[in-house]
Amino acid sequence: MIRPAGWLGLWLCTGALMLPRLSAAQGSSAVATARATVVTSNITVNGLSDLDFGTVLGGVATTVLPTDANAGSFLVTGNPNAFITMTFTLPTVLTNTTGPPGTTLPISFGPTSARWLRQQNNPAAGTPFDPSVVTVGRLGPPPRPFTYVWLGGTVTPAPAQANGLYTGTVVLTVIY
Amino acid sequence: MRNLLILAVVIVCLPRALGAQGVLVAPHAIYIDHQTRSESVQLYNPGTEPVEVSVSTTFGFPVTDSTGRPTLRMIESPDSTYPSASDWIQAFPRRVTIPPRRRQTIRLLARPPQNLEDGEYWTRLIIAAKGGQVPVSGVAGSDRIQVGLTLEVRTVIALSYRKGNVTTGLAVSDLRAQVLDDSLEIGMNLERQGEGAFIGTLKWQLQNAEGQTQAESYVPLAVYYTLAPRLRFPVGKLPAGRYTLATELVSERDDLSSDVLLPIEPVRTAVVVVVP
Repeated sequence: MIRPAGWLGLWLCTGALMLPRLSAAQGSSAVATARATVVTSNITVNGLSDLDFGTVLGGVATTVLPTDANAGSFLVTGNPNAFITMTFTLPTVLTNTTGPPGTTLPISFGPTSARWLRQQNNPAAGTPFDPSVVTVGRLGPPPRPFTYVWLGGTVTPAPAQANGLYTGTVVLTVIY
Repeated sequence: MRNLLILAVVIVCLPRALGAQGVLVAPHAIYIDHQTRSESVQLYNPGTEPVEVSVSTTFGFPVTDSTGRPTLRMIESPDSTYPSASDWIQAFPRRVTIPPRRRQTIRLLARPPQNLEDGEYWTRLIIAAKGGQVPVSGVAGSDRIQVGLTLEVRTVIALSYRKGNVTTGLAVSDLRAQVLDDSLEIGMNLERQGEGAFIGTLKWQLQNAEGQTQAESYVPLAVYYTLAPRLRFPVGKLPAGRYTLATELVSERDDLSSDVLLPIEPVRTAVVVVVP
């Protein structure tokens, strides 16, 4: 069985992924003996910041654009130039966690509510996409094998919307 | 000292991830053979908050949609015609909370049926990571409406289980290419041969009439059954003329050891591309 050279091997390989010029030597140094998995690479999917609407007013729809500072953001890192498939699981209502039980707040996402971009953390330059549709992205080339993803949305409180903290969960599934 | 240096490299490379919620998953492809029937996955929480992680399996394989884009076909309950290992690959632990900047080993054990035929069997590992509630901005209070969504991330990676002598191969047909603005679009039909999935790389080179290379690149590919990719690569503005696109499919990957790749003889094809 091939065993990575302990956790150090994983670290080495993580460094190798980020610094491709090192990968050949360090990747091979992580191989101990013969059989299966060599930890030469990895994938990281991170939620960088939550989608935060802050305080909203009853009866006033509030939109967060994917280019806004309070948009939800994700960072995917992995093998340079690899294709990734991105799928969002999106809520249709948010639940009031501090107010009257069962109170909800509608939330919606449009065809340009999300963006993605290789290499750079710059949503303004990102490619818009519909987060309710499966989207194929691609990691950046060396030395920045990254893809950033941003998500906005719209909440529509009723005029008599109950006060409280409304929350929900957005799931980003990245298929590698 | 060396560990600290390596840690520093990782931190520099993932500067914003440290305040995030998610996990590093390594390796990103798992291979288990019938002799040992076990493997492990390393998870690492690079963030500053604990992350709840769950591990599960599902069956799926890459396909291309009608536009040639790669995607994954997921089948919740695959019938017996599919080589699914989803029912007999087990992860331990399946749920765990990883403290900040700590790692966790997930053991994968295979319990295949006794009469399992030789071949390659597939499943996908789903690693779901969820952080704690992140505070909503603004002044907290029950006299206002506050709204915030937390993020959960799921990483889906491939797992292959091999029994006996497994081979693979590729049949390539209908290679086509066209230059669109400053991009080269390459299309082809790929059909896997043998029992195992083809995991490798498509390399291509575009030469002008004088035999000078104008552009070249490569892309990792996985063909489990058939694939009809349409791939676009930036090539810049090309002068009008006749070009030759040469492609080569090889069982090499810069992110995987050759030990786990099923070898094939390189498959080479070429087509003329006219830039008006």
